[in-house]
Amino acid sequence: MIHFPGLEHLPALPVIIPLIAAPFTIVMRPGRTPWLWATLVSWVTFACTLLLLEVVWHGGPTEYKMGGWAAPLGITYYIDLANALVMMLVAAMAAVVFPYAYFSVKSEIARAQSPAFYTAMIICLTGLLGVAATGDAFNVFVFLEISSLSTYALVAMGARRDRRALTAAFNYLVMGTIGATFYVIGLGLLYQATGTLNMLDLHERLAGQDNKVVEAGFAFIVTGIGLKLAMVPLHLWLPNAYGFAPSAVTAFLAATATKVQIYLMVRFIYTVFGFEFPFLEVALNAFLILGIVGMFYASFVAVFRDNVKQMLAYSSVAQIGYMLLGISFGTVDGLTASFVHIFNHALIKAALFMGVGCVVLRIGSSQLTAFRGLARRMPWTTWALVLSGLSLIGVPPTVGFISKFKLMEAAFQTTTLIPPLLVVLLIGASSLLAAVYVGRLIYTMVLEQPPENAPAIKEAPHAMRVALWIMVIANIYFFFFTDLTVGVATQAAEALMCSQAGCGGAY
Amino acid sequence: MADQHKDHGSDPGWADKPWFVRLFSWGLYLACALAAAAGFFWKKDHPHFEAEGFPVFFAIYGFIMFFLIVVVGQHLRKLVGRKENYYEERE
Amino acid sequence: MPELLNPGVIFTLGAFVTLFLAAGLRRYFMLAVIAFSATVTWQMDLGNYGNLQLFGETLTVTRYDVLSRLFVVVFHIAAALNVIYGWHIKDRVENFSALAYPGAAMGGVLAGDWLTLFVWWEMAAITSVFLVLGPRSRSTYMAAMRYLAIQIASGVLLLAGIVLVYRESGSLMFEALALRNEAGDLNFGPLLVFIAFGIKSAFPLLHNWVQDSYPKASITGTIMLSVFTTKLAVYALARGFAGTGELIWLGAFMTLFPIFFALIENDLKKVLCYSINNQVGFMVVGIGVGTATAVNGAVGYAFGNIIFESLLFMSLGAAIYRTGTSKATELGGIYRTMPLTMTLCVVGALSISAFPGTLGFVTKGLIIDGVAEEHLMLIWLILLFASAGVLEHAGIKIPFFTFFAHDSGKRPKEAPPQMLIAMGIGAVLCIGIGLYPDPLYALLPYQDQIAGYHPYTSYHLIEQFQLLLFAVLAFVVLQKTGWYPAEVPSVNLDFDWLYRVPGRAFLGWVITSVAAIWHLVWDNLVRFMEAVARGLHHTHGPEGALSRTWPIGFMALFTAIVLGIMLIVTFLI
Repeated sequence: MIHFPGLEHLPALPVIIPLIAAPFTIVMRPGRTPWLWATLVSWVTFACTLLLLEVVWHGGPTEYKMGGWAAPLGITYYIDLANALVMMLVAAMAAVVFPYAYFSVKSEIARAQSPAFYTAMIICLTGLLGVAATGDAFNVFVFLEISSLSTYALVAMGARRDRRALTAAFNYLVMGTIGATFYVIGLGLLYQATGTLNMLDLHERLAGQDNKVVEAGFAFIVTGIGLKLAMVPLHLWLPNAYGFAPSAVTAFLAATATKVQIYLMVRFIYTVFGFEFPFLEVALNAFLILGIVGMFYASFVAVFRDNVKQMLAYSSVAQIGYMLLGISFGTVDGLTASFVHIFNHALIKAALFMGVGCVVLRIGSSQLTAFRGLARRMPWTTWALVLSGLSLIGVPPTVGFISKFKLMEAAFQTTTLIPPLLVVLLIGASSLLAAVYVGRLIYTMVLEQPPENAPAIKEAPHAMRVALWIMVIANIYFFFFTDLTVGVATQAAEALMCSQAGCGGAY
Repeated sequence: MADQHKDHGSDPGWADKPWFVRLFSWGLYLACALAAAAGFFWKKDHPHFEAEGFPVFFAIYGFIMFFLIVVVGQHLRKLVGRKENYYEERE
Repeated sequence: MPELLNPGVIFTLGAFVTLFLAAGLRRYFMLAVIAFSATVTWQMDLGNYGNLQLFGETLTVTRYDVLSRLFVVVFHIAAALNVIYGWHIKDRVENFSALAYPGAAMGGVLAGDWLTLFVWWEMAAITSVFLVLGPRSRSTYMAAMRYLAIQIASGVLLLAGIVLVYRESGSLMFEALALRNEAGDLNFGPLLVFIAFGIKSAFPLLHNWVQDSYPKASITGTIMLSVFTTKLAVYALARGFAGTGELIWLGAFMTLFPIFFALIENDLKKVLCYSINNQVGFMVVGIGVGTATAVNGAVGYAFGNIIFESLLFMSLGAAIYRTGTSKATELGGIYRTMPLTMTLCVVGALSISAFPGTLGFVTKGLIIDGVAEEHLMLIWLILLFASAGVLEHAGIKIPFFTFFAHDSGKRPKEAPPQMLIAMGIGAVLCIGIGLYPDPLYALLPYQDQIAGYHPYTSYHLIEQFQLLLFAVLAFVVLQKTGWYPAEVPSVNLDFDWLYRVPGRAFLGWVITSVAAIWHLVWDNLVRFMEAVARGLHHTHGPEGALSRTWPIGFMALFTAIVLGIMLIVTFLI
């Protein structure tokens, strides 16, 4: 593969391409052009990440020095299987959601704003990919802010449909900024202790340094990222932000944003810090407890939400609980389960939010009442929602089942604060809660009658339906073919655990 | 068969006519007598339990058990019986 | 033919196709699907098919052997009878379930590994809940939710058990499990699987979902429900736990307690639901004994029971269809205008009571003989007692109170032709196999054993006639003396009372008290936060926007608290 010209720049391409493409978007004529351009960019980026994943999978981790400057002075991109998988996931979600966005955006956002909208989407994509790609801790902060700032703007664009989007965006802005600030404060403390910002370097120089500065740095970083990934009880910004953002934005963010943060958390815990630090155990125990609390608390809230978008947003908070749970086991299996769920949950939530987007487009509301008798009015959308809803519960043959299975399997071999069997039962019990809120949705759609005076409506446009069903089929496909998910995730988890156990060749 | 309730209309069906009830009853008595009598003529070759060797064991057991089920079982109603909308009032 | 195409898959695919068909076309299509699936099964040789690779494990989608074959055959018959019986049903959801639910049950029966079993196990739960939901009123909604929760709980337990079993044995093949190890202690993984099976087969105290949910479904829905879920569980028990001693006592108890509840029950649909429990009890005893005769009896009885229990449900259903009630107090006397339905119902009643010449006689005898061969005297007596009980509630009560008893004054029309046809086929099977059982015996799993078995020996006949005729005699005596209890409209409490009344009240109490505490804490917190914010505002900023900004302050406070805790804990360690 090496003989492709320009291939040596491959690790940087997924970040560079959208970064360069973004400014062009803003000057385009409002309407169809920016959308086509954004779609093209997302596809090219997706192709690059696929290629990158292929290279890393078969050729091992790769390293790319920005501008040829060596670490620790220069900025380095390290791509191993973990980031390659997350990058591929982010780009894939963009490649599906961007084409989907057109009609949804047309109805939800002023035409004049459309270049700005797609610019923000592409910038957000850049930021998320950058966070995943970079091996420099400060560079992470930069990309974090790039993605966050564009996200604030995107959420605020929901204001045309519902003014509360502005408050949601503002809250998100404040909380996001606090998170980022905590992160950068923590990083500053680590810099003070080590004098480097490169992740690998940090790991080496942190070894043996168990002092107050490092401890404080750790606490700040974990809290900062915890806020960004909506760990209970730092999740309060998320439901409103997802609930009021334009549908396409919600679909994209729910599938990607928190996933990248989870990846970042894993990266810090396993690569930068590592098990030598006694406080790591504390963090893992905190994840265990907060994860379980989140699984239940957020699911209970979701059961009682009457707005489907918000219900799904709370469900996302609960699902983050599963991912934290996987991390908290501190085993290869646990980490694998987390990565698998990152991937699978992205598929599930993208499909669900895209389905809801179709309903918002045609009926104009995401209240549960709007879904009454939807099976008769929009059968394609309904069945897509039903299937992805079943996936969310974890019913085979869908990816949700694989996630739950791997997580339970991992839970069985751990020794944590809580007995493994209880953890398994808790996972099962929270799945029942998911069955309840998804069941409520399915019941409303399939078994209730449409309102008496409901006007006849058309199905969602083809572009949206096709994108939606691609996601639904992916939900089933990756149940049968788990090489990409379970296979890659296992290798990625092994590499991460290995790096912190010191078997050389970190990443 | 005998009827414990009063009939509604003036059109007793064939099953309520006295001749049928009489026929049914006597037929049953005869069949019972035959079955009991047969127990004395045919014995099981290798009985698993002693009781099986007793010619009218099944007849007595069947009669008494059925009797018991009905006579004892109806008192259960006092314990668990409730008005028909018991649960509806509570749900 | 693709390897994966087994009856379960065919039915399921067919079910999804029905969703897109016009109402009038669906029933023909459904029959065609059943016929096609039967043909595929007919041409299938015994063996394993459809191996899939997942997680590096081999899954066997289809294991067609002597045990699963019998269930697949009878499930086909039952599915076909249901479609015929419900020829007039145009409801899309019910048509869907009429294929998907039997499909799930057959998929489960054919599953060669635990994961496939789990998949179909959950499918059976999900596809059948639509039947309970069928009439779509509030009470059915609540019952359906209870039903779904219990069924899914069974699935979750099964999954947990599977994970444990897999961890211990390293194999996913669905084979027999040992409930206890050599030392006699319970193995935890198999125990979970056992309980999961137990919930679905309605073990005592786990049984109540049957009486709770089944009668709430539509007529045709109830008939379908009565066949598949519990028999799938019986199959699973026969496969996984044959010869497990605990089952003998569980089964014996299962045959007993429904007798008394059925006696005093006024709703005849519920009487038949209790009868399901009682019948499954017989099968569970047979499985628990585990000898060739007993297991032959258990699965043979499952076959027979599906036919005659359906026949009883169908004839009662026809009466309900024509009169609109299933209460014993409101039925009665309708034999005048529904003589055919009454006759067919009596055939079912004779059959379930195991009168010689019927399907019940040639199958139940195997179980009782199996118990006798093992010299389990007490169990043997219990089963004979339970047989008298069956005669009471299913053999006499159902036909007597539906069609005879006091005259309700109702003069309904005879059942519609499609119902008569379905019931007729059932009745022909009851008597046909009863007189000539060889085709059924050829399907039983232990052929060596069944070869020497003859149901129509003189002693066997005498024993059965004595037992049944004298029990009928007791009924006649009780009727003549007026000791037979009159039916009264009532609802009888069962184990579900525990979770429906005190459990619910307790839950309500917990929720209200938690809410009260929460409000107390929350209100004070809010008041405190407002005071702080107002104070800050007073000194630092202009008026207004206060109510909008404090939630952010609240979130920020949470963040500060988390950071503080993290700092303290990391510092202290």
